[in-house]
Amino acid sequence: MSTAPPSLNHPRHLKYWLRNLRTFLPSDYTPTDLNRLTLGFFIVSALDLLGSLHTSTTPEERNQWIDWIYSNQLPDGGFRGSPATQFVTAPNSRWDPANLPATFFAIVALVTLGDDLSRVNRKEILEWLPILQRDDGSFGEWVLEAHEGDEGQICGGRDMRYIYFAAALRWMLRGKEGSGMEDIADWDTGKAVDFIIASQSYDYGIAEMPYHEAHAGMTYCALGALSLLGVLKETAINRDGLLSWLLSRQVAFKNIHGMTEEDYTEIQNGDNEEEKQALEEVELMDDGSGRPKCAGFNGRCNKMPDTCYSFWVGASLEMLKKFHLLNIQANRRFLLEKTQHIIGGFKKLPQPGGYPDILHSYLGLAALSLAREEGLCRLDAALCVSIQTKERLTSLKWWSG
Amino acid sequence: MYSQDPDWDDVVPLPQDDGDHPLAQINYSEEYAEAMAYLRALMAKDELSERALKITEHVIDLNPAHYTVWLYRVKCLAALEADLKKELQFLNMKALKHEKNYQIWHHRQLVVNRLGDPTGEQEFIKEMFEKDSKNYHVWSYRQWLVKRFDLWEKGEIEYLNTLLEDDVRNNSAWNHRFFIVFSRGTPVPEDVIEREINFVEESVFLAPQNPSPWNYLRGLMNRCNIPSDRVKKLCQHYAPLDNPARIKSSHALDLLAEIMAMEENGKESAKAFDLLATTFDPVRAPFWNYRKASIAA
Ligand SMILES: [Zn+2]
Repeated sequence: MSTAPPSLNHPRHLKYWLRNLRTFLPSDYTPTDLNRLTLGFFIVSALDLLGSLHTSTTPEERNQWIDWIYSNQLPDGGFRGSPATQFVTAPNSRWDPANLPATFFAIVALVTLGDDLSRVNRKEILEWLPILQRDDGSFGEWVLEAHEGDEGQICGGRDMRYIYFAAALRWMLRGKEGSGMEDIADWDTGKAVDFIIASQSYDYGIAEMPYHEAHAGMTYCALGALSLLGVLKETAINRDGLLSWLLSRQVAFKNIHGMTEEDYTEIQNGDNEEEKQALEEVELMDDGSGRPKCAGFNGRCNKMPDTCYSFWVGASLEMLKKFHLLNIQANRRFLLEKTQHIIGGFKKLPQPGGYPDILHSYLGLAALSLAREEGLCRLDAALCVSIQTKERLTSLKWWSG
Repeated sequence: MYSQDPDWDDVVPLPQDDGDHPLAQINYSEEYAEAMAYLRALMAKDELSERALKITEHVIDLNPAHYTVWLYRVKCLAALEADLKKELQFLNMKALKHEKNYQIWHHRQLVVNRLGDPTGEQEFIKEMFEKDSKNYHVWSYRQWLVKRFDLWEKGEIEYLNTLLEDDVRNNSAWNHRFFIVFSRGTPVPEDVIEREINFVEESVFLAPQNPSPWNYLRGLMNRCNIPSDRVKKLCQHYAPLDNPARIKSSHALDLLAEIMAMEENGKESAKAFDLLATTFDPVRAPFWNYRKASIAA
């Protein structure tokens, strides 16, 4: 066993992301085929966080990717999720709709690549957002147009994620004082805020909708939306309770977390009492503080720790200006020692075997970046992009007004 | 292979155009690329037919998160006046195969809503929970089902009792319990409140260090009038401040610290926070110190 302090293997991560950028993703990614713009964002933005986007790619390449993203913009506003829905020679807008998450990811990827958004149909997107909003304040993911007596409809679940994307697009595309966009009808932000407040659970975490189970990813989306709407400070959520719930997501790393399900069920069903006891054992710091050496985060009460929740919880705390209250070092060791993969990237779970995936690899970097890991650019918690990318947007002429 | 199939003779497939410099290109299997090309050809002309229904099934199998194909399937079912009971059987198979997928449950909601009959749904959910009793999408669907068909008193609490008997740490089940008891918008009768407090007490006895019932207790306290003495006693039982060696629950200690602070007993409250920071929950030491400082202020 090595005693060297854990560190971010920057060259390996770079290699991992350049491979994602330049070669085909394996066919295991087929179930994410309709989210190609989202995957594109993760790839470009990971290289940005690593500080390598502008050194590892040429301006010409970046312009080509920018053009590709624009080729997925739709004339009535918004971006499709993937070229997979495009009919090329026989366009049919009804089944090739703009997608809310994809529109957000397309725009942040464009800014990250250095585009000035001058080709984005800002007005059309802002006009599309109110159409996606439901009466209860929540948003859908896309709209199915009316067709031959068949009514149009808002599609997708009632889900906190979509409120976040709507708030982020509103913030990004209206500009500082809504400059030039004043005439475009806004969506009902008050209703969306009420929906968020109602979604705070009895245990004070926030759920996808009222009375559903509190979930760290949904909590991040809710706080991100409030933050981007500029109302986080004054919104009537129970802040102390939420803080306690968020910090309770951090769990000391036990032996059981580092095992495959088969292995621990075998031990649990066996009769070796010593092995059973060892399942719950925690490796402690050797400074006598009794604090665990590694501690990642779960997304819901009594669930196992998972890489992405280091970001969802960490960024939520950052927005509440309470990031310093979590055990930053134990989280860092969890990510670097338990889920960082030898080939670069991060795995979802701290178990033996398995491969890194794009989502967890990005969110692992983002989580470390919140804690100011050396070698990574700093992150804006609400937008989940580097601070310099956010500043590139806010210094665009039309944005700052 | 659609290209060899006489039923598809008249269809000109629409292959995907990824452009010259795409991002996140996926190494599609030939099967997927071909099925998608034929699906696109039908969707482009809004063809609602048996073969359209069939190809949606094929694509869903390969990519259940394809968001437009599900709705296209709904339109096919409606146009063909298909048997929705059969559609449910199809969905059962898909749900068991693609456990993490959410579109399936959204689609199921549309189908069952149109059927107007929840028969068999609770049983199927039970089957899903045998695989993963914390599946978020399935619990969300169950809430919809209860509201849509007024199933509040149709075995929900009894089922939750068995689930929690199997695993008292199943927080999703605790959450559903709160939904069943408190979300109907009618006043909760005294005997139900009493039943719930008893249930918390029994559950805490089984596993004092399980956060779920303690959180549930806080929920009860916020929603109805529970004598604070009773809660305090329960906390003190699992977290006797005068005998720290016998403390069995950091959650009891946390709640006790809060009650003590409310009673303006700053000294006892500070003691509880200290014990949390040093001994019973050191992973959150900075937070407990922060809480201690905020009651002193
Ligand atoms: Zn995850």
